[in-house]
This record gives sequence, C-alpha cells and structure tokens, in this order.
Amino acid sequence: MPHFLQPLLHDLAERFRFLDQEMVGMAVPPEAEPCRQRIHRLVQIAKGRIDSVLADPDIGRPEFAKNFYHTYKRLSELAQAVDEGPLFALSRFRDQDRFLTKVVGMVCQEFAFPYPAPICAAMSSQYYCAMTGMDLILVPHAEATHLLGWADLYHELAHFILARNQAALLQPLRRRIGDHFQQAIDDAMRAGWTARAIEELNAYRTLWLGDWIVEFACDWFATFATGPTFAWSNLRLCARMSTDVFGTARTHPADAARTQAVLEMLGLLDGSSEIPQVEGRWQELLATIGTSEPQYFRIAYPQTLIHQLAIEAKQLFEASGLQPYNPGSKPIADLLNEAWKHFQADPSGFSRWESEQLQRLKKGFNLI
Amino acid sequence: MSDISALSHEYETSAKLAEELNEAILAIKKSRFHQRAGLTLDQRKALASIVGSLRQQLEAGHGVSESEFLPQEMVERLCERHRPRMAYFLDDLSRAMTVLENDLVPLDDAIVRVLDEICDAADETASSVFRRMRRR
Repeated sequence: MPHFLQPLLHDLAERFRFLDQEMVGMAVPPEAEPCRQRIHRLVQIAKGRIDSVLADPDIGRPEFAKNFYHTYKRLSELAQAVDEGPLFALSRFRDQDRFLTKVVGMVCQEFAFPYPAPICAAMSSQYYCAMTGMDLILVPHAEATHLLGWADLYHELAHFILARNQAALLQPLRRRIGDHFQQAIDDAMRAGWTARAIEELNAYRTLWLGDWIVEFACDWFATFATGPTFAWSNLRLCARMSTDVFGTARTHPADAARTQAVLEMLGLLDGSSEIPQVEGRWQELLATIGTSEPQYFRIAYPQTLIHQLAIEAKQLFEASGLQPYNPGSKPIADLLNEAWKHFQADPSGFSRWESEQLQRLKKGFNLI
Repeated sequence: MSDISALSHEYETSAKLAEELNEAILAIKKSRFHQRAGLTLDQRKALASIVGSLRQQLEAGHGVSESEFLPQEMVERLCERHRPRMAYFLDDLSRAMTVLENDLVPLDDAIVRVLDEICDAADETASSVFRRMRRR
C-alpha cells in the first residue's frame, strides 16, 4: 500500500490539470490577458512540480516523507489560492472589473510600478484587499462608480511592492525600529521602569517589526504617490469603520497613529498646505467620538520614530525609482485630488461631477 | 486596508521561506542518504544566513538582522517551543550556522534536526496564515 501522501498528490495533480484546462480555455479582455498568462504559467510550473514529486524514486521513503508533505501543502495552498482568487475573478470578469483594471494599469504607469499591473475586480466583501501572490486586487462592488476611496488602490499596490522587495524597502525601516526600541528599553531600564512596562515596550517593538511597519509603509507609499487625497481618504475610512481610533490590532496599527504617519509623509511633499485642514477634520472626528489619546499611546507610537521613518521611507521609495505625486503630471492622482476638492466644496452636488468624470475616463479607455 | 492584504503579504513571505527551507533540507537529506553532492557553498551560505537571522531575532535585545527578517509568527513558535532551554537552542543555531558556512565540514544529524525544526515552524506558520486568510 502506498504512503498516504501518494494518492493525495495524484488528487492534487488532477486539480492542477483542471486549473490548467480552465486557464487555457478562458477568454478574457486584453487588459486581463497578461494576468491570465502569468497565473496560467504558475499553474503549469506547479503541475510540473507535482509530476516530478510523483516520479521521485524517494517518494515512499520515510526519511523524506515530511519534506514531500510540506511540498504537497504549499502546492495545495497554491491550487486553492488560484481557484478562489484569479480564476474566480477572471471567469466572472465584467465591465466594471475591466474598467477598474484599466484604472489600476494607468495608476501603475503613473508612479512606475515595477511589476506587471495586477487585475482589479469589484467583488470584495472585505473592503479593499490585495492578494499579492495572485496579482489580484479586490474592491467592493460600488467602487467602480465612486472615486473617493480610490486612493486606497495605491495602498494595496504598495503591498505588492513591499512583499516583493522587502530587503530594499522594509529592512532599513525595521533596522531603525529595532534601534529605536532598543534605545528606549535601555533608557527605561536605567530609569528603573517596572519589568511589566519594559515587557510592554518589547511587545510594541515586536508588533512594529511585524505587520505594523508594513501597514505604515503602505500608507506612506499611498501618500507619497497621491498626495493629500490619501489623507482625506484615510480620514473618511476612519470615520466609517473605526471602532476605537486609538485601539491597536496585531495586523494593523491604531488609526490615530496611521493618520499621524500619513500627515508626516504629506509634510514632506507638495501637498503639505492641506495638512491643517486634514488635522482640523481629524480633531472634529475625535471630538465627535468623544475620545482622547490614552496614556500608553506615545510609548506605542513614538512621534519621533514615525517622523524619522516617514523621511526614510520617502528616500527609499525614490531610490527604488517610484515616482512621487506631482500636481499636474499624473492624471489619475490629479483626478482623485480634484475629486476631494469638489466633494468638500459641494458635497451634495458631488455625485454629478463624479459621474461625469467617470464617463470621461471610460471614454478615454474606449470602454463606451 | 483589510486584514486580507496584511495576511496575504505575510503568507507570501512565510510560504516562500518555508519552500526555500524545505527544498534545501530535502537536498541535504538526499545527499546524505545517497552519499552524493548536496548544497553548493552559496546555498549553504544562504541557509546559514536564515539561521543567523533566526538566532538574532530569538535573542531579545539584539536588534534587527542585517540580512533577512523572518516572519514573527515562526520565530514565536520556535521561541515558545524552546523557552525552557533557549540558551541550548541558541548554541545549536550558532553551531549550525558555523558548519553551514564552511563547505568542508559535513552536515551531521544534529544540524539536520535543527534545520528540520526550523522548517517545521516555517511550514506551520505558512499553513496557519493561509487558514487565517480563510477564517477557518
């Protein structure tokens, strides 16, 4: 009787054959074709890997069983991710997905996204999200017809850039964070802080080095590439979705800290004249919620660290060839900044202007 | 914006690392079993660098590695597993690193055991992040 893994590998090989056939036979619009080809290639490589594992003369040896099992798991995850992600999106690709994919493609050109542009589908139940390994961005259904949240596309695109270029973009920021908290911990020990307080500092360091710096860096990039529009969009998102603007989660830093970080980056760009307006609205939001900064907040999110990191992030983006926002030179980023200006000047009449702009954009893409 | 993006990023990093480690360890095991050439010096150095980064991240208060930042969850898994005898584990990692950096020294059972353990933690991390993305 074969090892339990062998039938499972045959099952997975069959699954990849199915995915392969689906991807081959799929007709997609031209702007989604490069993505279909990339994912199809991924499926073919995986299919080849399974065939080679099945043909490996050592497959039945217990010494290697665990390693072949790990290979099986990674390939199995890939099959599921392709099935649930790009295959699902591409097999239901509609006009609004086509439009959003064209928008994302244009955005990528504007700031010199260093990889093939992902596709974008309006079928998310999780707000905006990126599937970095699958070249896919998902947004809610309504986003194809609303401009005010589009700055978040830049945040999602940053996830692709950071996931694929960690050494150049994230590692220097992590070093700075490590140094900062080491100094803070040394100072705290010298000052006789309690063991629990020092443990908290350690915990913040761990969170910063994990997911937090990724989220901050994505926010910095989105601000770097769009200017004030991302600050406004962030404020709107906080107003819509925050349960506690000072609360923190493992995957995301506090909204208040992110807002401060966005404003730090904005201060380094041309859009800095809008900072007082954004800050004013932020204070109004805090007053409306009736919340104030908790005592631990500045220990968890040191202002000097955020400031230094924003400066370094900007330098790293520029050194990587990513283009900052320059008013008048980037049609989509300009449109989004214009949108926020129109919205603030005339909130009730905004939707008419917005719909005219969307029509104009679609016409430019030859979609109407 | 949503947790999915953060988890997707985390999954990509941890799955890539788990795959790299698994391939390297499989090659080492096969070379020992069949008594044939194993990893090249560059591959051994790359593996040594991962072990070095892990050691640095496990050691509280030693800052961030110059080379690679390993997924926090994987480091925490190993930290949890070795908490009562962390000093010994750190010694094992140091030895593994030194041996991997010198291709004249063969890789013995103790080193393969350490590498296997790191590989398991990387695999568990990738699987766990993948499941979290699907809320299972």
